[in-house]
Amino acid sequence: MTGVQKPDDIGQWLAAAQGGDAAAYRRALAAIAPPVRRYAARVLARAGAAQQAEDVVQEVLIAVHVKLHTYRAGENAMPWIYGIARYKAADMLRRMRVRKVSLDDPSFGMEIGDDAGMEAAQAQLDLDRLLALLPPPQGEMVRALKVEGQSVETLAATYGMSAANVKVTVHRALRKLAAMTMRGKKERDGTT
Amino acid sequence: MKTDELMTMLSQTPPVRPRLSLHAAVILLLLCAACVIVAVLGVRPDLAAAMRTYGFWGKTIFLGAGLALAGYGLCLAARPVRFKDWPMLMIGMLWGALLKLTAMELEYASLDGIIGSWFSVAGWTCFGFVSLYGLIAMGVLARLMRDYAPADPRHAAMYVGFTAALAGATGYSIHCRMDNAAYVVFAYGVPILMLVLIARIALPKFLRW
Repeated sequence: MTGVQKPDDIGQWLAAAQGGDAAAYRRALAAIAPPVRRYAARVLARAGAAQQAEDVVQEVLIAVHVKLHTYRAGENAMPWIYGIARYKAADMLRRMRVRKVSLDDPSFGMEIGDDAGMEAAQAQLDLDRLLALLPPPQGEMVRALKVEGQSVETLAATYGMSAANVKVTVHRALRKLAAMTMRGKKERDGTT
Repeated sequence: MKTDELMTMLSQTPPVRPRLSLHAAVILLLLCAACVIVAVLGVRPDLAAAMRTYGFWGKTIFLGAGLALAGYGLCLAARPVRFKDWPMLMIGMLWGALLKLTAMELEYASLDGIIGSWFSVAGWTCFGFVSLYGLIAMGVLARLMRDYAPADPRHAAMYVGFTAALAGATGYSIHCRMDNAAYVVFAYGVPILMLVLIARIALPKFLRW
């Protein structure tokens, strides 16, 4: 699977899969896995359990298979998929009873000597660290809207909020991020 | 197993379908309640006369609308997507309207008479049937709900309780001769609230998926 799939594509494939189209179903599952993997890694990383993300992906795929009849053809597929992913990630955390939060996560691993990779991974870690400091679901919403490029409408449907509320929440989160970044910069300038 | 292998395996297996949809189950439960009532207790003898009164239609519309809203909310709650819970709000407004009617009724009817009707044979029969049938219907709906994917099992459990109890109450109303608001609020309301509470406490763990 190459390129980023539009949510509409996934919805159409899921609808075709409900009618028994195995090829469309395979495409849908392949398109669902990457965003769910990112989501699960992000949620589990807060509890220091990002290595379990692949287990969550597999559980989500099985749930998609078993609960496919709850998807309504024609609706945006992403809120439905994230609804399942949220449930399964929470279920995993509940089972693990993980309390420790760590960002020392193998999913951020890189080749030694790969400077570009190191920088990208460091930026990813910084972003994750900052977003993890925001109260839920602000961090998830900022990432979904500003990093993954999801629409406000999709987020509104995912979180059961109005579009205006999503915009206000993200705006507040960005202000908090800006304040945190400025504070960090001042602290660094003060120590050097 | 690797994720790619899992995807291939899943895509080659036909998707799972529930044995019975929730919509169909709610309609079937209502029909069953009506059939049981007609077979065991019979239709109310004054049906023709009652159909010319506002009280009869008020009760029928109240219970029928409550069941329709609860059934619709049940179907919404059965999905992994969160939703604005307007069916529960509407059910609350219906109860509010009925309580207002009860307050109006208290102005001209004697309190002793109203309380007497609650604890009459009809009142206990209503309580018994709605509770018993509601419990059975709750079991059926909870089992069906396991084939679905509720975003919040506690929320879904409440809808299971509401729908099951209202199916029993609507079925029983075919036999019930009491149409006044104060009677409906208590004789129907108490078993309905009791079943919602039982469902809210007992079902969430069962509804995890």
